Amino acid sequence: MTGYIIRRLGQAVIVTMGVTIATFGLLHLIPADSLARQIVGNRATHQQLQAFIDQYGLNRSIWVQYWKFVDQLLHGNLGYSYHLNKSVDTILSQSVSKDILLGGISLVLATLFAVPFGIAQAVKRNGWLDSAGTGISFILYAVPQYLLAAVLVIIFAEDQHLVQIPALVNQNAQTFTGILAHPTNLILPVATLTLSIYALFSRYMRSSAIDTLAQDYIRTARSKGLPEHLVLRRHLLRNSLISVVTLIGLSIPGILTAGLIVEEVFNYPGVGYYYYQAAVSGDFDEMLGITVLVAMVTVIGNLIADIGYAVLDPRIRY
Amino acid sequence: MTFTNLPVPEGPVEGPEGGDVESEGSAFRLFVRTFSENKLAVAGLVTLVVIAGFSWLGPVLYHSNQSTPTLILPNGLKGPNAAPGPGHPLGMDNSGFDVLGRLMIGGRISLEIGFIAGLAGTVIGVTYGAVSGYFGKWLDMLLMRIVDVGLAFPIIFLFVYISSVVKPSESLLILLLAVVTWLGPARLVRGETLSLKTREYVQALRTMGGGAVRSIGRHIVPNTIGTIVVTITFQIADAIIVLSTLQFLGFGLPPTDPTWGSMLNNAINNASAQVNGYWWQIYPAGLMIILTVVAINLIGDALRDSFEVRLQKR
Repeated sequence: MTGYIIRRLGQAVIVTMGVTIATFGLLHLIPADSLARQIVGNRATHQQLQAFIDQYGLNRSIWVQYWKFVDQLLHGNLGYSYHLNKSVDTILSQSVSKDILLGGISLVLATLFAVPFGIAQAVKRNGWLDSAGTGISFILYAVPQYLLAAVLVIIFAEDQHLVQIPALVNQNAQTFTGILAHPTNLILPVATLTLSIYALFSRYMRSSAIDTLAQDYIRTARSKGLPEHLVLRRHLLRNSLISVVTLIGLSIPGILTAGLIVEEVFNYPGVGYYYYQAAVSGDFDEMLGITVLVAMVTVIGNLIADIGYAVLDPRIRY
Repeated sequence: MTFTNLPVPEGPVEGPEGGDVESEGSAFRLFVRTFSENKLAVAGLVTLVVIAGFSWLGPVLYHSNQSTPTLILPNGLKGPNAAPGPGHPLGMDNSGFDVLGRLMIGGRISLEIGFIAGLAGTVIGVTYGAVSGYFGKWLDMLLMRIVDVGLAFPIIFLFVYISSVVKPSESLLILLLAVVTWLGPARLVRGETLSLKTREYVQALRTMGGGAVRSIGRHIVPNTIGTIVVTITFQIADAIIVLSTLQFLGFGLPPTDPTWGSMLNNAINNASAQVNGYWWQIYPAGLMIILTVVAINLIGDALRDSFEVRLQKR
C-alpha cells in the first residue's frame, strides 16, 4: 500500500511538471510581440513595447523563460491580470470560496440524489423506475449546461419571489457574505449545476450498484437470512459509497467545466466567470494562471480519488 | 434471422457431434443482429438519419435567405424576432434570419465537425494507445503521462483559450476537437493492448519474426474494434456538445457559419429570448442538439452491449 501511494505520488509530480510545460507551451502559441502589444495597448510607442519585452524577459531564451515561469509558480505567483490590474492570486483568493460554495452545495445535492436513485434503479432493474431514471439521465447528459440554465430561467423566472433572473444576481452576489445574504439567488445556479453533475453520476452509480448486487457476498448475506433492507444498507450502500469517491475525483474536470458555464450564464463571480471575462478581454496571463490552477486541482483530485479508493477498499492490494 | 447468404454445402453434411454449434458469423453480422434487436438503438439510428436528411436535403426543398437578414417581412412587419408565421414556420432570429433554414445549415456544420473530429480523435487515440501498450516499459510510462497531462486540462478551458488566441475556422475546430478528444480512446485501447499482446497469436507472430506494425495492424487493432466503434459514437456525441458550448460562449465560427450552438448564443445572450418569450429561437435549436446527442448515445449503448466491452467512461 505504501509503495502504491509513493508510486502514485511520483506520477502526480511528473504530471504536474507536464502541466507546467503544457501551459508554458500554450502561452508561447502567441508571439512575444503581439503578447506585449496586447498588454501595453495599441497606443504605446515602439520603445515602450521594447521596454516591456525587456522587463518581462520575453526576448530571453525559452529555457530561461520557462525557468522563470516555474520559479514564479513555486512561489505561488500565478501571474497578473492586466485588464483588471490585479494579481491572479488576488482574483482567485476572492473567487475560490464562492466556487467552493456553489460547487460544494451542488456536489452534495447531486450525490444525495444519484446514490439512492442509482441503488433503487439497480434493485428494481428494468422496472418503470429504472426506465424513467435512465431516460432522465440520457436526456440530462445530452442537454448542454447553458441550455439547461436558459430553460430553468424560462420556467422559474416568472415567479420573482422564488428566484431572480440572472441579470439581478450580479448586484448582490459580488461578495461572499452578499451571496449568503441572498440565498434565493443561488437557487438557479445550484439547480443547473446539480442537474449537470447528476447527469455525470447517475448512470455510473446504477451500473456500479448492478455490479455489486451480482457479488457473492450479497448472495451470502441473503442466503443467511439477512433482511433485505439490511443487505441493501450494509452491503450495497456501503460499497456504492466507495465508488462515489472515485467518481467525484474523476468528475472534477466535468464539474469545473459545468461550473464555468453556469457562472457565465448567471454572472456568478467564481473562477469560471473570471476565466470567461479574461478570455473576452484577451487577458492571456490571467487565463493561463487560472488554467494552471484548474489543472492542478484535477491532478490532486485524481490523486486523492485513487489513494482514497485504495484506503477505503481493503480488497484492493497493489 | 435468415441465413440465405451462407454458402450452401454440396451433398449431405453431418453436423458436429454433440449437437449443432450456432455460428456467430462475422463481426458485421453479429453487429447487425444485436443492433436490430435493440429497439432504442434502431430509434436512435432512424433519428440520426432523419436529422442528417434534414440538414443536407432540407435546404434543397426549403429555400430561405441566409446571406442577408430580412428586416421587413412581405406582410410589412419587422423581420428580426418575428414569431412563426406563413413563409417562416419557425420564426426569425434576432438579426432577421429564418430559423428553420438556419437549423438546417447549422445541422450540417455541427454534424460535419462532430463526425470528422470524433473519427479523427479516435484514429489518433487508437494508434497512440496501441503503440504505448505494445512497446510498454519506459515508452508506455512516458506516453501515458502525456495523456494524464492532457486529461488534467478541462476541455472547455483549453478550447476557450485557444479560440481566443486564433480565430477558428471549420477545419481548425475539427483539428482542435480531435487533438483534445483522442485522450480517452488512447487510454482504453492501451489497456486492451496490454492484455492482447500476451495472447498466443500475437506471440506466435512475433516468434515468426513479425514486426510491430504487423502485430498492431493485423491483431491488436482488429481485436479492439468493439472498444473503438463504441468510443467513436461517444466521441462524436461529446464533440457536438463541446462544439455547441464553445459556440454558445462566443468562441467559435463566425456568424456566417451558423451552428445550433451559435443560434442559442444569439437567442440567449443577444435577444434575451428566454426572458422575452421568443421560444422559437431556443427550443428548436436546443431540441436538435438533444435529439442528436441522445440518438448517438443510444446507438453507442447498443453497440457496447453487442460488443460487451467495459468502458471506464460512464
